[in-house]
Formats: sequence, C-alpha cells, structure tokens
Amino acid sequence: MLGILRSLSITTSKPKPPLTMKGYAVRLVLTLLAWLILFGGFTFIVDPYHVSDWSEIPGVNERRTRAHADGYRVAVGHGLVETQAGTLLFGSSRSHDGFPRDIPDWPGGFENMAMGGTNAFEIANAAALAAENEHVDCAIIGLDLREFGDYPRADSTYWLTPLAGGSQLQSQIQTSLSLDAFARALQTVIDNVSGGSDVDWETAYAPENSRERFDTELAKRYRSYRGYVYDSERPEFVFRGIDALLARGIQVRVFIHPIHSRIEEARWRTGIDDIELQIRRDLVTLAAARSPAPSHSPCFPGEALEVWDFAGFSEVSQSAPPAQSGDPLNPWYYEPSHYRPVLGLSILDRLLGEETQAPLMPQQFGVRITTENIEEHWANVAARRAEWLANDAWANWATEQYDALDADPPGIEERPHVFLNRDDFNSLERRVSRIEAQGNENRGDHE
Amino acid sequence: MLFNSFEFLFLFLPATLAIYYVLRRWVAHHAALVALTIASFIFYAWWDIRYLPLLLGSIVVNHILGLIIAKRGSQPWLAIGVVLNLASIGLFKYADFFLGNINAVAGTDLPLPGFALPLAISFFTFQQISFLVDVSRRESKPSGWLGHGLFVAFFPQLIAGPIVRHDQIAPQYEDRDRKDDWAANIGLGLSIFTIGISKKVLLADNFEPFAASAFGAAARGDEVGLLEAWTGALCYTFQIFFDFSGYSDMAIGLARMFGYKLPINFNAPYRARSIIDFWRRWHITLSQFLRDYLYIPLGGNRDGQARRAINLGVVMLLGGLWHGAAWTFVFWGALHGLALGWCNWLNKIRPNGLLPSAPWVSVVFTFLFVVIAWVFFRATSFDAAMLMLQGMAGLNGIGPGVGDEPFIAIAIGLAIVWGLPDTASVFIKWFDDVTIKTAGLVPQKGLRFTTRPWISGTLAFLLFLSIVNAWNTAEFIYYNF
Repeated sequence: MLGILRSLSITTSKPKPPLTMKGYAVRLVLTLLAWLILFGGFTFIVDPYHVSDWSEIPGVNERRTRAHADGYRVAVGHGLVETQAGTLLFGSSRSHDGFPRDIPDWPGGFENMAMGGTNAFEIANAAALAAENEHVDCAIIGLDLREFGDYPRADSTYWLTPLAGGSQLQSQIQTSLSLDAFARALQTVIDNVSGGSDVDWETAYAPENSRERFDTELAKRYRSYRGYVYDSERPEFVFRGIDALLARGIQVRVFIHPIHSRIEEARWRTGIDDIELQIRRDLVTLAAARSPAPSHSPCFPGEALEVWDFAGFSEVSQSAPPAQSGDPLNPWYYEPSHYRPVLGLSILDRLLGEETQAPLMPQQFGVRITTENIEEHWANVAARRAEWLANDAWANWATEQYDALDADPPGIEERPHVFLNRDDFNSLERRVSRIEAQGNENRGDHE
Repeated sequence: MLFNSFEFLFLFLPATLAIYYVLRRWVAHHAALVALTIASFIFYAWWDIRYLPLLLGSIVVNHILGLIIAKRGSQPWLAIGVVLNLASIGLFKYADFFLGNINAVAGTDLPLPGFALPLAISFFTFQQISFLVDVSRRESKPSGWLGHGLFVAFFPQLIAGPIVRHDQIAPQYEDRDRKDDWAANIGLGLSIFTIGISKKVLLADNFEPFAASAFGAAARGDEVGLLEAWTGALCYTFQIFFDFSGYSDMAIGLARMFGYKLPINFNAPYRARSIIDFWRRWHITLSQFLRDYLYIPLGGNRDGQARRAINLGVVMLLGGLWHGAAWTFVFWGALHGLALGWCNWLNKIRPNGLLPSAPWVSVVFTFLFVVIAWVFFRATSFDAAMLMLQGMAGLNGIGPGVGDEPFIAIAIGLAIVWGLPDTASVFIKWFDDVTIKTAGLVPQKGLRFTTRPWISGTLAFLLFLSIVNAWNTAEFIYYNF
C-alpha cells in the first residue's frame, strides 16, 4: 500500500529521474485509476440527480437543491425506464410546470416526464425510450417553437441519461464519471452544508414578482424571437420517435402549448408567425403521412395520433396580467410563457373530449389541426389577433411596448446555430428500428 | 464502438488486453491471435452485425486470390481481385451517386438502391487492393488466414486507418518468437492513446459547434456573414485535424498496447510550406497508397510535366471521390490536384520557393488554401459551399456577431498546430527507424516523451479529463468515409 501511495505522489522537491518503463506504466495506470475512483466514488455517493433512493445522507445530500433541478433530465431518463404509469407527458418546462407531476385518479397512472429547456432531439429519444417500456399506453407531447429551433441538440446532462443509450447501468457509470455530475455533486454538498440554493419554483413564480415577469418577458422574448431559426428537420426527428410509440400501439397526442397573448404577439411582431404556421403545417403533414394501427389501450377518444393546437388568441391567453401587488394573480399563467397546472388539466380535459374546468369557448381553446383545416385554423388565429389588438386594453399596452422595441430593436443573440446531423438521425433510427423489430418479433410469437 | 466510449474503455479494451496477454504468455501465440481476431470482429459487429459477413467475405476472397496470385501469377487474378473490391465499394458507396448522376444527365428514372454505407469499407477495400498488388509485385507474400484476417480487421485501425500495407503488419503477426514487454507496450501505447483521445474529446469536439453553426446555416441557404464564415471554416479546419489525427493517434497507441506498430499518419500538416508538403504530412498512409497504387502506375512523373500534372489531377480527383460520393469531394480533390500542379511548376522555376527568406509566409498561404478547400469538403452542396465562400469574401457583410468563444478556440488551435510538435515528433525516440523513414518524418522541435514521473502524472490527468468529458462526444468524421 505504501508503495502505491508513494507511486501516486506527484509533487517533488527536485526533478525525478526517468522511471523504468514498467514503473512508468504502473504509475500511469494507478494514477488514472485513483483519479477515476475518487472522482466517480464521490459523485456516486452524493448522487446529485437523485436517481437512487439509498443514498440520502443527512447534511450531505438529503436536501434537494438547485443542483438536482439542473440534472432533472437524468432522473427523467431513469424514470422512463422504470415508470409503471400508463400515460406519460413529454415536453419542455411548459409541460413540466404546467401539469401536475402525477394525477392520482388517471386510469393506469399519469407521470409528467417533461424536461426544462428540452428540444426535438431529447423528445424524440425520450419517446423512443418510452416505447421500450411495456407499461406505457399513451403519450402526450407538448411542443412549441423552441423544440424546433436550432438550439443545441441536448443539454450536457442529457448524455448521462438512459435517453442516450437506453441502459441504466451504463447511465449510472456515466453519471459517476461525468464532469457535469461531479460539479452538481459538489454543489449539492455545498448547498446542504451552507443551506443555500434551494429548488424553489415558487421563488421563480413568486406572486410578488408575477406582474414584473409579465411586463419584462416581452422584451426578452422579442429579442430571442428575432434570432429564431427554424430547423425543419426537427419535426421529422420528433416523428421518428413518435413512430416508435405508434409501432408499439401507444396512443399519441401532440399539442402546441398555450402561451399568453402578450408573448404570442411578440412572434407576430418579429415576423415569425410564418414559421409558426409552417411548423403546424409540417406537424399535420407528418401526422397525415402515418396510418397507425388502433392503439392497444387508448386513453383518449379518437385516432391513434392526433395533433392539437392550444395556442392562439383565446380568452385564456388574453386574460389580464396580475395586479402590481400580485393580488389578484392571473388564474392561468405563472408568467406569460408558463401556464399553471389548472390550465394543463384543462388541456387534458379537452383532449379527453370533456368539459374543461375553465369557462372557455371550446372552438378557441384547443383545436385539432389536420392537413384539411390548418389554413382555415390559422386564418381564425389571425382574425382573433386582429380582434384582440383592436379591442383589448392590455393589447394596447403590449403594442406600445413592441412599437418601442421596433424603433430601437435589441441585438440578436450571439450563439452557434446547431442543426441535426446524419449521426443524430442514424442513432435514433437504430433505436427505433430495434423497437420495431422487437415489436414484429413479439407479434410473430403471439401468432 | 467508439474508442472514447464507456463500453470500449472499461469493458472491451481491458478484457481484450487481458485475454491477449494471458493467452500469449500461458497458451500460444496463435491462440492470442485468434482471440484478437475474434475481438476485432466483435468490435466491428458492435456497429451493425449485418455487415460482418461483408468483412468476412472480403477477407476470405482476397486471401484466396492472394494465394492464387502468389502461386500462378497475376493474370487474370489480380484484375479479378481489383474489380471485385472496386465493385463492392462501388455498390455500397457509389451506386446512388452514379445512378443519380445518370438520372440527372440522361433524364432517366433509374431507381437508387439506397444501400447504407458499411463502416470502414473505404479503408479495408484499399488495404485489400494494396495486398493483391503487393503480392503480384512480389513485394509481399500471403500470410496465414489469421495474419490476413488481422491485417484487415485489427480493431485499432479497422475503421479509419491508418491504411496499413500487408508487408508492414503481417510479419509482426507472424512473428511468434518476439518478446512481449507488456509494460513498455501498455505504457507507451496508453501514452499515445491519451494524446489521441485528448485531441478528439478536449479539442475537436469543442470546435464542432462553431463549424456546424456556419456550415449548417449555409446548408439551409442562409447568407453567412464574414465573421461566421471565417470562424466556421477555421473551426472546421481544426476540428477535422484534431478529430482525424486524434483517431490515428488512438489507433497507433491501441495497436502498441498489444505490441504492434502501425504507420504514422500525421506530421503537423498545418505547418506545411506547400501543398506538396501538406500531402506528405496529412493522412500520410492515404497519400502513399495513392502514390504507390495509382500515381506511379499511371506513369507518375516519368513522361514530362504535362503528363505529371494530368496524373496528379486524376489521383486527386479519385482521392476526393474516395472520401465521399459527392461532387463537392471531387471538387475538393480537384482543387488540391491543381495546387499540386502549381507547386510542382513553382518548384521547377523557383526551387527555393517564392520567399525563401520568409518561409512562414508559405506556411500561412498553404494553410489558407487548405482552409478554403475544406469548405468544399465540409459543405453539403456546392450552393452551401458558395454561400460560405461568399461570406468569407465579405460579400454578405460582417454579419451578426459570433461571440468570443470561436475566436478563443481558433487562437488555441493555432497555438497548438503552430507552436507544439505533433504526436509523432513527441514520441520520435520511441518509434523504430523503419516507421520514421516510411513516414518521411522530420520531427518538429519541442516537447519529447520521457518516462519521468511528472509526465506519467500529467498524461494520467489528461486521460482522466478526457474520460470524464467523453460522454457527449460525436462520432469521428472519418467514420463517414
């Protein structure tokens, strides 16, 4: 042992002479192993993404801090493999915050598997991974502009999840030997010791900050939409993941999130309403190109695959912003880009064909879009926008803000534009083909 | 299986090394070779087992043809072998390309077969052709089945080279009496491998987003501004070098871990003073293959300057096509062919170069030419390449800012390629004379590998850093060829 420790010592007072090749090789390998064991062991024990239940150590990692939230997709990756819920929800922070974690009385169980800041790449892979889980009957996928933009394909923690490889053991080891996970582990320990950095969505959505978020979000979104670039291959990529679900007889509902009219207006003012329409056209065209078999255990009335649009200028999205004091709050939105679970539940009600909990006009909130009605639907959206602009007091305020931004537009965000490459398509194709092949095998066995 | 993947680093490699050395030490050399061959087939099948029969078929057919040629002479067996090999690569790699072009030119509607490209087919096909030609020239003798199998399938160099000639590696496999110094093999091999994986994980993959951003925009038909175009092109220049030379280092290091010596494939190519010099330093084994099996048989420089230029042009056009079935690759090859012709002409009229007192000017101009030529190599179409070149020429204005990061990355890239010696120079004392002479290696000054403790500590930390950053890396660029 002493010899090993001596061989690991790096600091020296004077230059050491060259080692024999054997000494060099042993020292190289042992030093590497020492680094890996210390580094990986620390991360494994702290378990910053909370994927193991056994590793709660008081004062070290028992309190869930911001570090856990940052690595949420790692937990989602594990969840997709392990969950026994029959209905899974996918999407970005809009789905994550806009729907309950679970719905106890949902037949077969419901689990919210959304990931903040996600995109088409992750959603497609998550869908393909979910298709491997035999408990899953239905999948609901919430989408919006961001999922189809040229943003990075995945967050760094994505690569640590079973989403990346589909193997939990591999994911555990990858997580333990990842710089990102190590940083989160370190942050978790520091947060637990110091008492700082809580995961507190209520702070992000604190009532007293709500009005400010409604007002300041305009300029932020205006700036980001100015630099928005649509990657038309990303819808195709999502649908390859959807194919995996359909091939397993899983019912799929794709929907577009309802965002507040103030933000919706930013898209029109920055001229990306054309892109919004194009995304919808692409989604319904891709859906129409599929002719899936009936779902084995449908959760919703209707077909195996449907696309719904909850965006636009509905009564919900036109609701008044909160008062300056935060009382009353907006009943539907935390802030104009993120809605509350009560609205998420209304979306589910609409998909179920039931009366929503909101006093809404059904034709304005949630429209099933198809290749037949997409143009008419968008004309309706444009008409409602015109009506909102003409008649709504808050629309006037938003118009003034956007006029000022038009007069002195903020700079476009500087960032690399990332497009999906051949490897991305190939790796997803391999996974989906494997799922489909297994499905065919199973069907063959039954016959 | 990527060299930087979990399954390779922690399962496949340690298990294969352990089995190989145990069998060599306590069973038999042949048993160790059998294990290494099986491991190589597993490595290949890991990607897609459907293509394993193609690899096995290639080994069996070419080995038999090699035996026949050795016994009965070249005619007609060499021609049959070359045609079979070219037919196989033509079918899988070029069928769509040629039929697509026929459809475009003749207005026909011939169906495209749409075969997926079997991994490594470009590399192992070239090795098989070189084997048959060498046997027919009596420069190499067919080895046993195992030797031939490993010559083609040895996993460190199977996927993306270096392209190995039969007489370089087969005698090493056949040498059952050689002594294993496992510590030297592991120590030296792991050190070279560490440099390679660091190039790939810590450098190449960090250049990729900036290159992808610019080329992606061009592929979509968007105008690319001056800043984005130049940072994109330069970042790709560094990405492809660190990616491919990193892969080659890893391959050489891995082979060395088993005690086998692969040829050197890179020697600081971005320090080249001319395009002739560049091709002596970049993908050296491909350059030598093209020289020995295409350029010289075409006549080389034996029939005057004009014929030499034509021969060079043909070689570079085909060299471009070898990289991918697209006209952009052919054009990239043509550009390099023209540049080689120009450099040869210049050498004749100005043997000491245009500016003999300022060789760095030649280095910079050569580098800039290579950067511009890479645009055609990386772009997905001529339109995209032209958009990039328009951007680089400033025709689209400066364009939106790209942030500081790409400039920092480029500065680091330049500092490394112009300030530090390449891997082959660092390990020069540890390569044998034949390997150095074959590569025509003139080492750069600077760092040299020794077995001092601080070097083992530094390399261990570098390998550790590469491993903990390796999980989100992309495939190697040359896996696509």
